[in-house]
Amino acid sequence: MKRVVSGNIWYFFAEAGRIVRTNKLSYVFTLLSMVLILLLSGIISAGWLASRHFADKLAYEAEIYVYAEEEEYAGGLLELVRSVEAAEGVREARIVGRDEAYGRMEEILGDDAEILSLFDENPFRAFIEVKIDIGKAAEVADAVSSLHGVEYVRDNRELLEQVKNLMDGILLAGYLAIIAIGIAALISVSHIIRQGIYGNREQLYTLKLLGAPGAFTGTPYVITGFLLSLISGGAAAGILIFITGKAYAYIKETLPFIPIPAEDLITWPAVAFTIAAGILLGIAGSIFGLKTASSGKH
Amino acid sequence: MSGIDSALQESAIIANRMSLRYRDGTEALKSADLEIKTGELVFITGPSGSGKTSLLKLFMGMEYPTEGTLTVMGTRVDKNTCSRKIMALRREIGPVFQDFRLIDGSSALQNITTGMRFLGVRKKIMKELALEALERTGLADKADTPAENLSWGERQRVAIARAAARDPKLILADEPTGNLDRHNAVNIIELLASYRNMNTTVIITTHATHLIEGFENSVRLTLESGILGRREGGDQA
Repeated sequence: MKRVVSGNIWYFFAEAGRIVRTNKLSYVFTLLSMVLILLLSGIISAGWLASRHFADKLAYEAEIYVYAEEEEYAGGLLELVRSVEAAEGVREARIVGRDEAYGRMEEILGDDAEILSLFDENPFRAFIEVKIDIGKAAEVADAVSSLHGVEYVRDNRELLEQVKNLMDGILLAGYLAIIAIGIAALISVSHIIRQGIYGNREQLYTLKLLGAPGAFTGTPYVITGFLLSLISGGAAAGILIFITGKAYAYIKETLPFIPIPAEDLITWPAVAFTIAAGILLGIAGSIFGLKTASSGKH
Repeated sequence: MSGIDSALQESAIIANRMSLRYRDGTEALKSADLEIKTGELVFITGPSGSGKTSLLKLFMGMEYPTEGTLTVMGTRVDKNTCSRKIMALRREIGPVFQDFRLIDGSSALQNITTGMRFLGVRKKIMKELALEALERTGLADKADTPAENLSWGERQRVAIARAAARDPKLILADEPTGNLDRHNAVNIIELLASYRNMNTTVIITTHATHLIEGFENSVRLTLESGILGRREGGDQA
């Protein structure tokens, strides 16, 4: 079987060319639709990567605040920080002193910070700022609350929950979009392969009558699907590079405060995904088209 | 090699009480007993619709006996025979189809080589064999002509060249004299008969009995409404 395929490689490519030539217009339309489908998948994957990056950043900033009982201020706060750091799901813990807490509030209040001057002395307490793994927010809050010397924990649980839901939502939306696009590409390629087989059914039947194995009759169609997806994947990738370049330039110019990831971190993974998805879907679509087009009769 | 295997090698085709009934109920072949020895030249005659093409379809594994047994060159042909075995059997056969089944858009030479590409023949030898076959059929100068530009007779000769170039053990020609005048028809049958040798069995179906009168050392079978008649005419092989 291997010899049948390897010994006829050039014949198979020539056959693939002949198959395309006999149904030129259909292949042109399929190529265009494949480019659009893959471009859409590239844009979605780029958007998905950017959203993930943004959500990861938000998740990285997830933190809870631990307030110690009064007697801990005598010198046990550092000991408490070490205990908090030992809890599972804690990435980092540090003490925010009274002055830093005051400064932070000033920053938050901005022009209204004058109100703080009404206090005779700094009204803020020192606390422990704990950066956490967002997926374990509830467990960390419970574990830290039960530590000796902890008065209470401000965990913003609702906000953290929302950030986690946002991350899960982005992940799910990305998977769903990619599955939908994958199915669309698969159907598109397998349909054109089936059409090609239908157009050449007499020739294929003749070859079967002459004893040609399935690998011999099917390989030109797999090559056709592969070339179709390679060309459309390459074209979609080229357009994607152009679009992301323009989008980055636009965002940097008009919305400079948005924390977008570096262009290379989004563009190249999305391009690689587009080309790989194109090739995989092309080959899978061809094989699917061949399988569904073959009749059971010898 | 067992006794049965050696017997099968001597016999190209053995059929016992073989019947073929199509799904629509048409009985194409009725309880046929048949033995064709390797190297024989066999003419199967009968009017149109008598079952000649059905018989050849059975020999090629395109149909299976609905009753009885059939063995072609050692391969049992029935509904349980796997596709791989049927394909292997077909690679031993050189078929000449009634409608030639040439590939339009491909040249005469390409049509012949395409039928050899999966036989394990080396490329260079493949081309030599194909050119030889074209020369023997008188079409050496038409090697590069696209199949669709050939005349009816030329297409038929290319089909014969394609069958012969595969160096088959069995040549099956279905009504090769179809629309030809007597002179060309006799030439085609002579050409096909010339491929018969110690290892190659040639089976030709035709409704024109007058065309095969001059062929000696041939076996003649008749088919009438699906009933296979006894051997008659010609010198028995």
